[in-house]
Formats: sequence, structure tokens, C-alpha cells
Amino acid sequence: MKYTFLTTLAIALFFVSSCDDGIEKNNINPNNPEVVPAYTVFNSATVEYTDFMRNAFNTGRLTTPWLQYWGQTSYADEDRFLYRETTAEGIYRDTYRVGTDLKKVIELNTNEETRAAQAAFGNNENQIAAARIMLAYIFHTLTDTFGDVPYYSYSSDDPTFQALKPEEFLSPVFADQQLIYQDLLKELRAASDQLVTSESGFTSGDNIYDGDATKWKKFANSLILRIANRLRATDAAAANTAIDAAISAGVITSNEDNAVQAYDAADATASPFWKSFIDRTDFGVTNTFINILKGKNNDFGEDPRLFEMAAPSAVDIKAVKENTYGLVQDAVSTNPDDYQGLPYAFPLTQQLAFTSYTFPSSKVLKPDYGEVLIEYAEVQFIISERNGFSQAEYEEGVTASMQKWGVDAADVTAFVSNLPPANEANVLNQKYVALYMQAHEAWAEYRRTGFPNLIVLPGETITLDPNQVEDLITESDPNPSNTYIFEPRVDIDEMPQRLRYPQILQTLNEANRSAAAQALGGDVITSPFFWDVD
Amino acid sequence: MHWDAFDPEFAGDFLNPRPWIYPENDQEDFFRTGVTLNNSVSFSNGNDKGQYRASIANIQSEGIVPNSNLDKTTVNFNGDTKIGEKLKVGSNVNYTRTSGFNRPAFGYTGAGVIQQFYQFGQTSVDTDRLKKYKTSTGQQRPWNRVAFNDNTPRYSDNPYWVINENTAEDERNRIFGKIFANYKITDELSAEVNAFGDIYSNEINQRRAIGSQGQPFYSQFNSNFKEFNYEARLMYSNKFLDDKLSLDAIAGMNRRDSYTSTIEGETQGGLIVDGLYNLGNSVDQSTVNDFDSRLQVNSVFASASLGYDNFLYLNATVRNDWDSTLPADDNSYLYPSISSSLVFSELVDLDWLNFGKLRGGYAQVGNGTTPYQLLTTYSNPNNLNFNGNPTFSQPNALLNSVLVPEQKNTWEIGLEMGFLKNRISFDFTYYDERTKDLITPVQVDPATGYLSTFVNAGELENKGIELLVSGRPIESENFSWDVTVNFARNRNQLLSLIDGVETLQLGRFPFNGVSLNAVVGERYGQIRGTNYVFDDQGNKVVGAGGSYLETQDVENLGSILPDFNMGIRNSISYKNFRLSALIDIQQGGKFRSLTNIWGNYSGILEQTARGNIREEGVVLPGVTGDVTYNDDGSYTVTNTAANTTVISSQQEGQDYYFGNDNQNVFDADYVKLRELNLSYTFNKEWFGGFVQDVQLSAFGRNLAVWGLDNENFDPEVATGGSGNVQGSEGGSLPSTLSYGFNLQLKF
Repeated sequence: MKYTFLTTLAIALFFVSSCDDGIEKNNINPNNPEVVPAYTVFNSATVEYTDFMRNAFNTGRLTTPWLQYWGQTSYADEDRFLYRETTAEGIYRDTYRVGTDLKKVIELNTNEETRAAQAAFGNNENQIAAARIMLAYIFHTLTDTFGDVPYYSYSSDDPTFQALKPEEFLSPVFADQQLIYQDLLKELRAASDQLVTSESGFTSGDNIYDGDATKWKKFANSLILRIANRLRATDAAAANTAIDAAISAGVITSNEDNAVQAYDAADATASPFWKSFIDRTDFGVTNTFINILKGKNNDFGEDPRLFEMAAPSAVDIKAVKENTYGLVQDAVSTNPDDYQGLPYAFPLTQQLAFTSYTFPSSKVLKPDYGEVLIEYAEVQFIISERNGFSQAEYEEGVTASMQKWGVDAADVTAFVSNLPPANEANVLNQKYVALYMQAHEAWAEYRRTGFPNLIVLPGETITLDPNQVEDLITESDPNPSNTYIFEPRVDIDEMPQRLRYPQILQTLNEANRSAAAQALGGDVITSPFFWDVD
Repeated sequence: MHWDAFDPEFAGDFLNPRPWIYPENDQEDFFRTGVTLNNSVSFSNGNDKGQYRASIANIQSEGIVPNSNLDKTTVNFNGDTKIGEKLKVGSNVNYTRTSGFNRPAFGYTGAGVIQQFYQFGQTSVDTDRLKKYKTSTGQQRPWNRVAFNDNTPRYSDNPYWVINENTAEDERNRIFGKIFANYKITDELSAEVNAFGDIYSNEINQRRAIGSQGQPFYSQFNSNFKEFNYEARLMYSNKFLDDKLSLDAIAGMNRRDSYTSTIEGETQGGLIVDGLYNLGNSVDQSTVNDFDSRLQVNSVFASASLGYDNFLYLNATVRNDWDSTLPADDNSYLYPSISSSLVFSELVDLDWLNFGKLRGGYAQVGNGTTPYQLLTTYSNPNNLNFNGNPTFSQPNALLNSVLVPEQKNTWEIGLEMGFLKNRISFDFTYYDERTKDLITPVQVDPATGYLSTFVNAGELENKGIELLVSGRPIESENFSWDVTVNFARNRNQLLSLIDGVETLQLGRFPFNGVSLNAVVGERYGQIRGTNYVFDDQGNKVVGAGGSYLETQDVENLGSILPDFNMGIRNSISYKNFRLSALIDIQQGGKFRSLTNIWGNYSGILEQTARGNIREEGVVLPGVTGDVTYNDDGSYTVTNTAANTTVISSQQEGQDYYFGNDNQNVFDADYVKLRELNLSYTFNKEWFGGFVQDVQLSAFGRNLAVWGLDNENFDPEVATGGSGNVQGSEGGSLPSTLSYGFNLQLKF
């Protein structure tokens, strides 16, 4: 009995001692890697950005209707300024999620253990610089959407820049927008100088410039133009200094240098608007924009970009998606009367047949449509404004835009030679047309300048095309009106100046959000930004 | 001209106008009466050497949604036998196969039918006509075609297309059981080894056919799970002090190994060949997702039970786990427990008190977490390459390499008493649970770059009482009446969280910024969203456009947890008959309804056409006034006057989406007649000894409900599957009433 007991005890103790042995080997994750090449992260980050920023919700139901480029084919509530809370939250949340990936790209190229491996895929400095440029791009759009926001800077040691540092700040403060602007310009200047143009950037995974460091430099400096130009009203001297420095460092000088996020031809990795049209038909080009291109309420005359940007009304969406309505063969209608826009912010749009208004053209609705981050035309317009609205750059901007959209050389020359002379209105109105499909930038410029002055204001009357009025006839309404008034769905009489901070921040970071709201004069859509002086 | 007037093949309807009226057959006629057949048989035998039991059970269930069914078959073998005098060997093996076909999808999705019936649908559509859901060439006939000459569905598929063409199936095969050997070393001491196993494989296939509104696809999900526990123990049992003191002690160890392996594939870009549902039939390359996990927990444990003279008991246990999911230098946790009970009725001699027991205990339980939570890794969602290169990105959750074990401390006290030969008895328990170092993801400001961080976060308290009272008011030779009441009241509160964070977001409700939270110092499970604006008298304030105003900031709108739950069961026995009724009561708690939002927005709910509001408009009850907001979101209302602005019924309906969140939050109270059961036990003489026991019963469940805050919604369907988000109604199947009968035979 005694021996039995002792033997049992000995066996038991033997097992107990091995209880802890190497058990943690079970916890090595076999599914996901701890370290990856930086180019795979960059590959993911830039496409993820345009995927959410330029999609049906964050652009399609926000800025493309507000600037009256496109409108919704039903549910026009967002078009009439009643935007979704989930849109504001998505823009805020996903910008930082992309930001943390870009920060990882920088870290992989900076840390001693990993930077040597990254050099096999391009010069380390060039990889870091590209990430810094993209960080500046995304934070610029973010602050122009909300105002003061938590901000991350690669080089600054400003203690109020607390974003993307979860090990230190779980509730980051909202940095002052003016300080953000100053740092954006500093960062881009430094990134431009950091680029080693004799060597390659990312040899893979760069879907904007394919590793061409010279073009990244032009992108950085062109972005400086866009950002510095916003300061024109508050500090013209600083704006011009930054702009001139950027121009001498080298900006985009042709459409070949445009910063465009490329997309794949397969549905799963196609451009965001293509994806939204796969099983729904939610957007059309508005009558406002079509009428502008037809020269209806302006001195520009008939703009041949009409035929490249929109499809004739009678063309159905299948033909647009399959590109079979003649655009490829240059056999598309050039009769402006064949193009009638979707009535902007019209409450009864769903009653109209799809064939009574235009859809975007096949140049826009295709799986590999490249989303433009900044282009040559915009650069020229900014330089024109810097020179007090000079004629040469104004003409070059319009030319560049028309060439980008594929207009015939003869038609370009004809249109440009008939342009009314350069002044604030004409330059900025043409800039608006050139910013088609870059509605967030158009929104910022509208808030800054009040142009385009060609869009319909709240309270104004809009006229329907006779075909569209016909569609509205019902038994109970045999004589529908051919006009309607643009009525916002919220209590304002002008375009929103910003989006409200996401509601979820009231729970997750209330103290700082509240402080930022106070500094703004209230977390409402009518609080203007510092550069919005009018 | 209705939706079905544009197919020449259906000549009777083609271009044939019909009145635009409420249809003869509406959504309710889509559902059918579900039928469940439940049969089982079991055999058992035994002698002094051993015993054996085998059973087979089968449930076949047809759901209330047509073309959906669920089959479950269970086979069980259980037995043990003695080998010689000292060794006993036994096993218990169970096999179950569960097969589901077309389990109805719920939630805000076109894959389910609820969205188009109650949220975004047409009340003019006749369900009977929908049954002709496709043409002879296989094209769908939707009720929302794009145009008279284009039969593409604009938003939703015909519901009969959904259930007949976009089918889903699942099958799970599971074997679990144990095998053991017990060896008697001495009369008091024995040793036992046990091996437990649980293995299952699961396959789920889903599809969307060509011709549907959404992009066609096929997906297949395979998972394999294995868990083994190997246990060895020594058991000691003896009596001392004249057999008055008994001691049972166990010491042992256990090793648990758990493995999961899943593969998921989905077609991309659509299907090439119609009707072929295979991952190779994909327009673009199909995606593959591959996930494996394993964990191991080693334990040692010991327990001792002492009993004295049948009235005093003491039980103590201690256990230590080493858990592979925790960091190597902090993966061990020890947790003891102790409990005691005193049957004080044995010590006194009162003829009206036949049973009295006081019990109390304290227990600690430690816990690890799921595998791979210690190190943040990159992820490649869906393994999609972009432009020929892999895409890796940081995940949404920042993980934590310094996690420590979670610890839950519970103490409990209870009193059980029976009076007058158990004519009246009660059982009362009070419990208080504190969980410390709760391992949980904590939502943070996305400006950190992550949506949550995984931490040991704070302390959660869960306390409450449970009371069971039973009585037999009437007892006579042939007749008795039993009443049982049970009552439970629970208070769950987050006591503290990590520094600088006051709220733990548990989940999000769909649409708008409404979330479910654990807020420090508040009842667990707070719904947070915007509210009406109220004046000093509690009137709702209406804005210039005639719609209710909405607060600028979110507020706590109430907890989803009820104040109490109560059940009352009455049973009456007369000779061989037995009738019993159960009433179930819930008070308190809230839920948020998505169907209330869309049902009002789209004009499906009856209230959107009440009275003449569609023709004449409606004036919302409330006051107009001037509202001044302070910087912190609070407000003052002045200058109030009764609201007279007329708005359209459409605007009123749409405001449920665009307006405040509180208008869609309702009380989760209910009183339900949960069950009614009538049974008859036959005299066995009638069957001449062939059958030992025959019992026939009829039952009904969920027969009636009273006291709902919103008559449209049953609070009990406000659960979106399993998981943390409860209190969210939106797209669940309607709750069902069921009835049936049951025959039980014993041979």
C-alpha cells in the first residue's frame, strides 16, 4: 500500500513538472505573418484609400452630388445635404487605418532589422518619401472634411500630434488645423528633398507611379501647390513662397505625370464606382453639369468633353458597362440635345425612366478606371491663380483636361480659342469642370472661393426636360409641373462647410472631441474653416 | 399595370391592368405551418457485471419559410463492464449528424425574405402571384423590375426565387464521447484514466444564381474541429468516527488539446456556367481563406468533500491551469473554491419543518483567451492580390503581448426550506460575481490607427438573486394542484476600465451611429444614440420643418438587460391526467428596432396609413420653441408653443431614419403564455404487461403575449445570432406559435 501510494505520487509529480513545458509553442500564429515586405503594405494602402474615399457612399452620396456632378437615381436625401452618419464615420475611421499602414511602410524601411530586406524592392529613402507624401495627401483631405483632427507627423515633435501612436495615446487630442497645414507643407517639402531621383522607388506595389522617383517628386510639389493655395486669403505671402519653391523643385508638367491610382480589370479589384454599378444603378450625371457642358448658362460654349464624360440619355446602362454604344469607335452622338441630365435633388427621380437621363460614360464606368489624386490641369489652374489669373496657364489647364479626356486635337483648339478671357470666375469655373470625378477637391475649392457660380443654389428653380416631365404623368397627376425648387433636407441655405465629427467619438474620445467642437464654434455643418474666408 | 403584366408567356396577365389595392394574399401567406417530427427509441440492459444502453433519435423539422428544413439524427452507445474484481472499463460514444437545407437568412440582407416583406417592399404585391417566379426560359420575374422592357430586379429578388434558386445547405457530422478505465487499488483508493474526444466536421455551401439582383456566386466553407482531454485521477473514499464522517478526495491532472482548421472559398466576378455551383466556375479567380488554430491547456486539480452525520457538508477544490494562449512567463493561474452546507432541519425536530438547508460558497475561476491574441500580425483579407502583388495591412485590433489571466470570483449564499411535508418549499440564492482583468477588445478612437486594443480591462460585476417557490395548495387522493414560481433578478455593471477610457463598446447596431456599450458606473449593455429634445415639461420639441428635433450629442438610452424575469407554472393532476401551464414574464430592458426604421420609411407598417394622414398630412404632437445648445451638448428650450405644422406622412415615416435614435428604442417587457401541456398516463394493465409505461401528451408553446411596448415587434427576436450584440431587432423571422403531441412508450 505504501509503495503503491509512493509510486503513484512519483508518477503524478513527473507529469506535473512537465505541465508548463513549451506550451506556448502552440500559440505561434500559422495564418498571418509578423513581418512582411513594405511594398505589399504600400500596395494595399493606396488602393484601400481610394476604395473607400472614392466609393458610392463617401463620394457618390456626398461630394459628387453636392457639387452637382452626379445625382442619385432615387433616394435623393444625401444629395440634398442630409448625409449619412456612417459616411462621416467611414471617412474618419478608414483614413487612420490607411495611415497606420503607411506608417508601417516607413518603419519597415527605418528599423535596423528590416530595412536591408526592403532595399531589394527599391531605395529605402524613396519608399519612405512615397509613404510621407501619401500620408500628407490623406491627412489633407481629412482635415478639409472635419477641421481639427488628431494628426500624425513623421518629422515633427509637436506634442499635439498624437494620432497613430496607440502605445502612448489611446485618446489623442485634435490638432489645430492651421498647425496641420503648416506641417503638411513642411512634410511635403522634406519628402520632395528626400527623394533620390537617380534610383527607383518601389519596384512592385506602386500603383501610382510604378517606382518612378522623379514623378513622386512632381507629385509632392504639386500637392504643395494645392495645399498652399488654400492659404491665399489668410496669408498670401506664405502661400506664394511655398508655391514658388515647389515650382522650382519641379511640379507635374504633362498628363504623363498625373498621380492616378490604377485599378484591376477583375470585379473584385475593380474601381469603386464600377463595383457599385455591378448590381445597382444608383447614379446619373446631373442636368446642372450637362447644361454647363452644353454652354447653357455660361460663356464657354459647347464643351466637347460632354461626349467623353457622359453617355447619351437613350443609352442604357448595360451598353455603358460593356462599352458598346460607340464611344470606342468615335461613333458616339455629338448632338448635345441627345444628352439630358438627371434632375439634381429632385424628390421623384425614381419615377423617371433610365433612358430619360444620362449615365456617366464608359470612360468612367469601367473596371480599371484610375482614380485621379492630382492632375496637370489643376496644377496649371493654381499657377494661373498665383499669377493673378493669367491667360496662358488658364488655356493650358483647359487644354490639359480636354486632352486627358480624349477630345480630338481640332476640337480642343476650337474650344480653347473661344474661351472667355481669364478672370477669377472663368478660371475657377473651368477648374471645376476639370475636377470632374475629384469632387472632394471641388468641394474644398467651392468653400474657399464661392466658385463654381454655375451650380444651383438652395431655393432656386430647376427646369425638367420635356421627356422627363412625360414620365411623371400619372392618373392622379395628369399635368405635372416641369419645374421644381432645390430644397435642402436640412435647415441650411448653403452648401455644408464640413461634416460633423463621427457620433461614435462622443463615446470613444469625448473630452478631446468636445474641446475641438468648442474651438470650431460648435460641431455643426455650418462652422467654416480658417481658410474659408468669405 | 402590376409587375406581372409584362411577360407575354403569362397571357392572362400580359398588359392586363388590375386595381391597385391591398392583395388577397399578403406576406403572412408566404409562410407555411412548419412541422417537426421528433422520434427516439432507446434500449438498455444490465447485470452485476455491467450495463449497456443504446439509443437513436431523429428530428425532422420543416420551417415556416417554405423549402427550408432541418434534420438531426443522434445515435448513442453507453456501457461499462467489470473485468475481474478490480478493473472496470466503459465507454460512451455519441454520433450526431445535423443537416440543414435553406436555413432562412435573417438580418438586413437580400438573402433573406424579411427585408422585402417588412422593411423595403411593396404592399400591393400578391404573394400567390409571386409563386410564378420565373419564365419557361428560367428568367426571374421580380416585383421591382427596372422598366417595362427590362426584367432586371432593381433592388430585391422575388422571394420564391430566393428560396428556390439561391439555396444553401449545411451538414455537420460530430462524434464525441469518452472511454475510461477504473482500477480499485484498495477498498478506499482507486485510480481512473479517462480520454474524452470531440470531433466534428462542418460544411456550409451558399449560392446566388445567375439572374438574381446581386452578383452570382458560390461559396463553400469547410471546418474541422478536434478536442481531446486526457485525464488521470486518484480517488479516495473512506468513513471515520463510527461512519459519521465521510471523506471523498480526488487528485488528478488533465491535458486538453484543441485544433481548428477551416478553409473557405468563394467565386469572384460571377459564375460562368449557369447552374454549376463549383469554385472552378468563377469568372475571376476564386478566393481562398485558410485559418488554423490550436491551443493546449494542462491542469492539475484536487478536491475534498467532507460530510458529517448527514447534516454538515464541506467541499473544497483547487486547480491550476497552464494555458498556451497566454504569454509564456505568465501563463499559469491557480484557482480554489470552497463551499459548505448545513442541513439544519436534521438538528431540530419540528413537525412543520421537514427540510432546511443553508449553503454558501466562494469560487475563483481563471481564464485564458483564444489563440493568437498576443502578437499583432499583418493580414491579407480574402487573400486577394492587387495588380499581381500581395496586399498586407494592419488589422483592426491591436493585440497585446502582456496579457495576464482573467479571474472571476464568485460568492454565493443560499437557503432552501420545505414546510408541511413539502406542501410549501422555497429555494433562494444570492450571488455576486466579480470578473477582474477581463480579457476583451476595447474600442478606441480610430485615430490611433486601430479600432480596438486587446487588453486586460477592468472589472465587471454581476450579482443577483434567484428565488424558486413551490407549493401544493390542494392535495387529495385523486387530485392535486402544484404551483411553482421562479424569479430572477440580475444586476450587471462595469465597475472600472483601463485608464482614460470610460466606455467599452460591445457592438454596433446597423445604420446611424447607435452602439451597445458597457459604461463605467452604469448598467451593462447601454444603448447609446441621439434622443428627442424635450422642454421642461417633458414635451418633445419640433423644429421649423415640422419634424422632431434631435440632440446634438448621444445619450444613454437604456440597458438591454431586464430588471427581472419570472415564471409561473400551474400544474393540475387528476387521476391519470395532468395539465400544466407556464407563464413567462420579463420586465425592464430595451431593444432597438431596425424594422421600425425601414417599415416607417417605406410605408409598410400600418401606422403610416393611420386615419387620413396619407391624404391630409399629420401634425406631430409636441411643442415648437427656441433651443440654445451649450458647448457640452446640453440645451435649454424657451418660448414654447403647441406645434401646428402639418407634414406629409412620408416625411413622418422618413424621420424614423433621419431623426433621433431613441424613437426606435422600445421596452423589452412581455408576459407570455409560454407553454400549455396536457398529458395522460395510461394504466399499464390495459397493455397486459407488454408495455410498462405509456404517456400521451399534447402541448402548445408561445400561445399568447401581452404587455408589449410596440405591438409590431416581439422583444425575444431582438437577438442577432449569438455573440455580444443583443437587443437588436432587424430582419429576424417572426416569432412562432407551435403545438403538437407526444407519445412516450416504455417497455
